[in-house]
Amino acid sequence: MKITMINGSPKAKNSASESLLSILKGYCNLAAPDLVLNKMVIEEENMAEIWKSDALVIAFPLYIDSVPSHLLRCLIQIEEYARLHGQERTSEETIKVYVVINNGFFQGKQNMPAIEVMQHWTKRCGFEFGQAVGVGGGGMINFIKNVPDGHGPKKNLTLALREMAGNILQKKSGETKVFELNYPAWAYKWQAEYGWRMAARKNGLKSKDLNKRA
Amino acid sequence: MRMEEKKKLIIQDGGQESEEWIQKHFMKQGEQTEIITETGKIQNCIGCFGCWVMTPGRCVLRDDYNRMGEKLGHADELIIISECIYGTYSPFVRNILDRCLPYIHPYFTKREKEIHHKARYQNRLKVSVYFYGECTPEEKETAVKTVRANVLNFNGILYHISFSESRDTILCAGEGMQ
Ligand SMILES: Cc1cc2nc3c(=O)[nH]c(=O)nc-3n(C[C@H](O)[C@H](O)[C@H](O)COP(=O)(O)O)c2cc1C
Repeated sequence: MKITMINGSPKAKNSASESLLSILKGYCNLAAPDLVLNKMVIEEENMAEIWKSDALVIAFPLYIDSVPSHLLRCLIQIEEYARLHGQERTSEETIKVYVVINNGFFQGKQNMPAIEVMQHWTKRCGFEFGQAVGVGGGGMINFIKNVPDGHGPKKNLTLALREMAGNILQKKSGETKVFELNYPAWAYKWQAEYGWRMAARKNGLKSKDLNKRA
Repeated sequence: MRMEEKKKLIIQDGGQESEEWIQKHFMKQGEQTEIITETGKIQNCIGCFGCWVMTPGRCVLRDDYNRMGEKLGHADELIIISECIYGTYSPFVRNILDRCLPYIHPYFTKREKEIHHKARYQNRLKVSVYFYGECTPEEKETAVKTVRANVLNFNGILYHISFSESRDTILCAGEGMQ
């Protein structure tokens, strides 16, 4: 079975989406590098990889309550490809789609509209929807890499991704899971805001410059 | 006292050939209107947050669309005309919305029991969305949820949302659904 992990974050490095995929890859015992979709167009050889897959695991960040625009363009390109080549695959061989979205706000349920968009896209491509996970507090995901599985802030995340990995390996479907990291909202807010002040200072700005109106 | 001129911002995906039609139907006398149209090259957001921590309020990418934050900040009304695709906007309109991140402030605040970002500007945009194109009832439902979420995110006020089969029938789609 060919499982293709797609990173749809436009960030070149250190994306939360990449971290989430690497956890999933660990659970699925997969070593293949992620297919990175950070441009508006999918190159031919990448499209061929996608088309050969039995399962696609698509991770991306929530952008203005939806799918980042470059990724939306890629999804449309995949739908067009599927429409042209659909008859090459029987219905048993259809591609199963799994989706992992993370968002910067604390609440995972804000990912719901984007999860639904992915479900509608799956249907239009003639693919089958596997499962979606939407995790809030995305800004913290890279900082808890070394927390052991199932512990502290990783409790909900480990449960959800383990279940998803099991489903992927068996090409099964599962219920949508939207949740938060196990971490207090006030602390997340405090850390995030502190982080923005530090980032501004690194760029030679003062904290109050964050309020600038360009 | 002279009333200040109302400012209207229109984001639309019909290309330059639709501008005349939009001017005819969406612009009123005594209002300042700006239309955001796909003219050629638009870059996608690269997730760098430069618009928050490098040049706060302005996108760092160099193209014609890096001042969306200010444009929204100085408008009273936002009109979006977009094809509805999979229950969201068309890629160009989505692209513009991604580039609107500088409109909001990095700090968090609570709105309707959800955590959102603080507003950078004091204005409250009156938002109308005219979707067009073939879409399923489920896709429409998702599109409505998306628009509501956006309006909350931008601290705006939802004024109108409608769906029509094609661009030509947009204006028949009724006014002011909340
Ligand atoms: C243009 C833009 C729009 C965003 N819009 C939202 C949003 O609507 N809601 C939200 O919770 N987070 C939003 N975020 C935050 C990202 O979802 C968050 O930073 C995420 O962790 C990035 O994931 P990545 O590292 O995989 O790219 C936005 C970020 C950017 C750059």
